[in-house]
Amino acid sequence: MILAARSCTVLGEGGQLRLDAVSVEVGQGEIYAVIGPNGAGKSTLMGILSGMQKVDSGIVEFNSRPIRDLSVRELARARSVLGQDLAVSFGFTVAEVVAWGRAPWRGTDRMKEDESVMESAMQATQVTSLRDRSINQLSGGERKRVHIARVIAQDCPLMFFDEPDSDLDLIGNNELDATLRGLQQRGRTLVVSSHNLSWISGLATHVILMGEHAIVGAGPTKEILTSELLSNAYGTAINVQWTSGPSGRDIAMWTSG
Amino acid sequence: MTRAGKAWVLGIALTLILIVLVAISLRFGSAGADSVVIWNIRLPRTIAAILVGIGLASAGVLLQGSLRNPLADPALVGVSAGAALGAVLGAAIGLPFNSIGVTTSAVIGSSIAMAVVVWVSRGNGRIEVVTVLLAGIAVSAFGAAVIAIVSSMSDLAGVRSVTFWTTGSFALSNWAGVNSMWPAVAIGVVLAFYLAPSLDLLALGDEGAYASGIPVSWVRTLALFAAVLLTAAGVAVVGVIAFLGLVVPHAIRLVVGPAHRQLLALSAIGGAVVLLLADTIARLALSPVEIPVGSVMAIVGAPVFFVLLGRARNRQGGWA
Repeated sequence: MILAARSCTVLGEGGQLRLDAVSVEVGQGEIYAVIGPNGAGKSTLMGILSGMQKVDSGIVEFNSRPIRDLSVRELARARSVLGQDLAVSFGFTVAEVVAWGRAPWRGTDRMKEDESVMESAMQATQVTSLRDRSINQLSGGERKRVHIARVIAQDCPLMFFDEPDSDLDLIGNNELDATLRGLQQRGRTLVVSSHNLSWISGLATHVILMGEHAIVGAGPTKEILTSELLSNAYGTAINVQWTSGPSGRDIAMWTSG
Repeated sequence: MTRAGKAWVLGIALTLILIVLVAISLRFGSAGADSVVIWNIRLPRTIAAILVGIGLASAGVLLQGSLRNPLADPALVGVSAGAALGAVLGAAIGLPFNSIGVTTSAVIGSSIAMAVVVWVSRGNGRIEVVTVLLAGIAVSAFGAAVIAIVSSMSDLAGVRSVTFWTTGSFALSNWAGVNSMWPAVAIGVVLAFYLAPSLDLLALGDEGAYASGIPVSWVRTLALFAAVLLTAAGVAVVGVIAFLGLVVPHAIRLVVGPAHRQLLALSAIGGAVVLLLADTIARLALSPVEIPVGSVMAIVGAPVFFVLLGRARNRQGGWA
C-alpha cells in the first residue's frame, strides 16, 4: 500500500460538506480509477490524495507517512499531478514545459537523467516533433499531451491524472491508454479520474466509485462496475454488460434508463 | 538561430548600444564638456538613468511573471505611486532627499501599495489580470492626492512638486541619489535571478506550480518584494516613470522567449538602454529646455500598452 486516506472530511468555503469521512487505500503498482457523477467529490478526493488539498479532519498517508508532513518539494518527488487547468502564460515552448517536470530534481543526482527521461516522456506522448513550438499555438489535444509528458517526466512513484482523456480524439485516447499501461508496467501507481466508463473498465485494476461526497464502492474493477453499484451512485437505472474487447481485455458496456 | 543564440547576439548588441549612449550622454548637454560638469552632473545622472532602467524593467518582468499578468508595470499597478508617496512622507518628516532614509520610506510605501493591490485582486485563488490594473489606478490616484496635499502644506523645496513625482525627471539625480539607490537595486537583481527558474513554473498557475514542487506563496511574495525594491529605489530619486517595465520585457520576449533567466538579464540591459536614450532625448531635444523623461516614455509606451491590452482581451474572450 502506497497511499491511504483515513476518515477524511473536507468542508467547502461555506462549510458545506465536500467529502464525508472518506477512507480508501491505494496499492502499489496498480491503476485506480476514480469515477462518479458530477459533484460527487471526485476532484476533491483526487485533491486530498495528491496533497493538493488539505483535509479538515482525518489523515492521508504516503508510504505510512502523513502527507502533510512532506515539504512541497518532497511531495513533488513523491507524486505528480495532471490537473484540469492547463493554461500556460506566455509563449513557453513544448520542450521548456516538459522540462518543468524535472524541477523537483534540481540539485539531486537524478538531474543526470533529465535528458533521457524528458526524451522518453515526449516520445511516449508523441510530442517530440512539437518540441520547439510554443505551447499556446497547439491544439487542445496536443496541449494535453504536452502536459501528460511533463507529468511523466516528473518521474514519481505515484501519478495522478484528472480527466486525462478529455480533449483527446479516438487515436489520442488509444495512445493515452498505452502510455498509462506502460507506466504501470514500470511499477508506477496511477490514480485516474474519468467520465468514460468503457475506457476505464479496460484500463483500471481497481475502481473507486463516488456518490454524494462519499465512496460508495472501492475494489477490483469487475466487483465495482456492476449494475447495482452504478445505478445506486448515479441515481438512475444503469445496466452493465461485460464483453471481451478487441484487445483481449474485458470491457464494460452500459445502458441507462 | 536558437533562442540562446539570439539572446547572446541581442545581449552583446544592447551592451554596445549602451556604451555609445553613455558616451553621448556624458559628452553633450546645454553646458560645455569640462570635467567638473561631466563628473559632478552628467556622470551621476547617467548612472542614475542606468540603475532606474535596470530596476523598472526587472520589476516589470517580476510583476508580469509572479502575477501571470502580461499587462503589469510598476506604475500601472500602483507600486510606483506608493513609493512616491512613501518618499514624500519621509521627506515631510525631515529625512533628506537622495538618502537611504527616503529610499527606505519609499520601499515601505511601495510595499503597502503592493499589498493592497494584491489583496483587492484576489478571487477564486487567482489574482485577476484586470482587477490588478483597476486597483493600481485607485492606488495611484490616492497617492497623487496625498502628495498634492503634503506638498501644499509643507515648504515646497523640501518635498518637490507634484509634477516632479508624476512625470519623473533625472534633473535632481546627483551622487547622493546614486548612492541611495544602488544597494536596493543590487539586492533586487540578485533576488530576481535567484527566483527566475521558479517564476518560469508559475506560468502553470498556482496549482500546477505547487504540484511541481514550487512553494508558490513564498516565491510570489519574494518576487513582489524584489519588484518593490527595484521600483522604490528609483522612484525615490527620479519620480514615477511609467511603461518602461511594460515595453522592454515584451520586446525582449518577442526575440528570446519568456524563460525568466534570459528575460531578466536582457530586460535589465534593455531597460538601461531605453531609459538612458529617453533621458538623452529629454535633455537634448529642446535644449536648453528639458522635457520630463516620464513624458518621453509615455509617448512611446502608451500605444504599446493599447496593443497589448487588445491582445490580452482577445485571449480572455473579453471582460464582462
